Amino acid sequence: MAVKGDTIKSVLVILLILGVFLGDIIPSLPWVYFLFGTIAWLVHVTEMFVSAPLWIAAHAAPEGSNHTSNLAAKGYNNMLYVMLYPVLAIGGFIAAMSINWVGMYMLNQMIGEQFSNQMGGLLGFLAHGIPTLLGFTLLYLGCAWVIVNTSFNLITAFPRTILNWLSTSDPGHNAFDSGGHQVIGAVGTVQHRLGHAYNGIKALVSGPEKPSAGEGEVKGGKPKI
Amino acid sequence: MIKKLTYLALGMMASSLAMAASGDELSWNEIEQQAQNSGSVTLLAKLYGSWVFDLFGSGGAGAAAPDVATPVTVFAALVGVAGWTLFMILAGYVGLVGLIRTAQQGEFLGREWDSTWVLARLLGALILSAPLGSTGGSANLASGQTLVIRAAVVSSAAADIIWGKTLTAIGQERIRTDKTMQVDIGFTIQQAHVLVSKGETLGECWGTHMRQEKQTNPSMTSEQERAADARAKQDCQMDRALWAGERDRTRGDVLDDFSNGVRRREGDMVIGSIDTWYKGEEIHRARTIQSTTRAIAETYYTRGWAIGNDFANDRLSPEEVDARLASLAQELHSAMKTGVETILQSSYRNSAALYGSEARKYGWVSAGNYYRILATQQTAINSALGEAVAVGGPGINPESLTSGLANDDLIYHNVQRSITRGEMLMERSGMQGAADSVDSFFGAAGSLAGDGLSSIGMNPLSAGEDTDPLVVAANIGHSLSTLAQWGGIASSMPFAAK
Repeated sequence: MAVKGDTIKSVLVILLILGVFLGDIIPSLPWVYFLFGTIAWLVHVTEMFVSAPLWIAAHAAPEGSNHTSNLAAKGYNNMLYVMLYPVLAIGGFIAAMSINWVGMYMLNQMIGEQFSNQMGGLLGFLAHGIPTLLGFTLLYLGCAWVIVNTSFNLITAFPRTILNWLSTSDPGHNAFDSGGHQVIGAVGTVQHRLGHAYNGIKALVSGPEKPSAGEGEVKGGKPKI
Repeated sequence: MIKKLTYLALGMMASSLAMAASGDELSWNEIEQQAQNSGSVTLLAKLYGSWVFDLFGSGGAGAAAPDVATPVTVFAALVGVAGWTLFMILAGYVGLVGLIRTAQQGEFLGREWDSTWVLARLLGALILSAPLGSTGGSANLASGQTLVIRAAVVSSAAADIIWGKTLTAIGQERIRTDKTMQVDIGFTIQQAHVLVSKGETLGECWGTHMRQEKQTNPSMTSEQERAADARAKQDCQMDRALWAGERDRTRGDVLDDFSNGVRRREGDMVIGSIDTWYKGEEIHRARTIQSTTRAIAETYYTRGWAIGNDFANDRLSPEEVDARLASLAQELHSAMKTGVETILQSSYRNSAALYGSEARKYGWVSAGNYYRILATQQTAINSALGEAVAVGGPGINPESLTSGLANDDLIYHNVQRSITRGEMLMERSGMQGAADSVDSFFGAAGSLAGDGLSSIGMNPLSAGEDTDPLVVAANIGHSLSTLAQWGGIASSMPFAAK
């Protein structure tokens, strides 16, 4: 009975984690990327703002060609980034929305069909039951995670890609540029730790496992007193 | 040579193209106005002071002064001093070395340096790195620094406008293609037939009277003809509101007062029972819809009247009259539906425009949030409009769709509905009695089961091709959470633990 109860609880915890990921975290990824993209841009603007007098003064250095000196040349990449990021981020976002729509639509169609074939109606669902459901949900979550994550990464990646076509070097990264990825990594870590915490709590509640299941040992999840 | 400048120009061209692609031209005036009322520019103002709202300030670049002092600008002003110092050093170096090289090589600034560009750069750097006179704040920025911020503000405001216009376009396109915009008119073909037949009867009556008048007096003057026309209308009991004097299709007299429900006046009978639920205080679009349906009804009533008149003057046979009336009734029925659809879609298009302008107000930085709304919009429309936009049908509750709205902002309302539904689901998952728990549990189980459970009608993956797939995924996730929560509750109950 204890094993059965623990199994049900484990399945429920897995379902809860899957549900939170699918229902709350994945739909929030677009604004996570946008949030950090915006902060990164503001950092770039501030850097440019603070360093502008030095950059402008650097134009007075005699070595160089035409409008810019060798000393000031790299600043134009940052200036381009400051000027064009907002418009290009919107472009990346619109592209991401479209690509995500197509990707997720395909996923929904394909996995729905696969699942349907596996289950084969209500009786199939009752026969295959929870393991197949969990397996498909996990697969669905994995695919959705990659599609959404990769699509909306365009919010920050798209402007850089375009600007790299226009400029001779990358405008340079700051810590916030990778903020979205850090958040996603942190979410994964938290999920992992939650799993450990759950196991710990379960062990605490159930007590230490005994080597054999004889009389007087673990029953119903609690030691017999 | 001018590579970098070319890139800059290309960048500006890309912006312009993006603006053009969004369907409207973008003027500096528009950007300036946007900068004054933008959520994204507000972020810049937090960092650099409120002067950023005044893009082309009356005081020129120096207008930064009064409230320019923020931690960032104060620090940047100190760096400005360093920049000015660096400029002086470099200018001194150019002057000294340039003088020596001029003397040595007999060419201005020597052969290694491009004398024209070096001087141009010196002049440009002098102008842009010189500190501006501050009139009030402690920060004394260089004009180059204010230029950087102005560039960011212009870019930000342009992105706001593009984002707003894009959202408007997306919303309007969705509305155009939305299958749920099909309006179910509670106006039967029989009602349509009654309407055109009534017109035909009156037309026949009027035509017969006029024919007799003309037979009695073949050489009628125009005044006599007007008098005969009035007698014929009176004898035939034609609706005065419809026929007296100039035909006012907007029917202001009929639509005047809805505060006590629909007031029936002469002429109302023309459109039968279709207007029985049009109460001004119940649906804010009632007047528009009513004037549309009334105008359509009157048009077809008149066409029915013309058939009757033709019959009275032996221009049509009885069989032809029957056939034409049947066809006219059919036409009226579909015209009524199309008319209401058109007027509603026009309202929705306005809503989409409002939605876009709202997004524009909060700025491009809020685009990530708006995606959630945008994604749920379609689902909300599917679920809300499909049942609610039905004109005149039984069990219609129009006020639940539109009450409390200041404008034609149906989309907001739909979004609100979807949010409310989400909240309700959360509330339900937070325990609300046994009956609800059973519903939630099986609802969630059904959501999980995919097509395998389509036989019992519970499959979120087949939620409809118009639904945003990310919303579908989120719905599945919420169903899983609900299932897990209720499963947890069920398994922790005393009877389950045993």
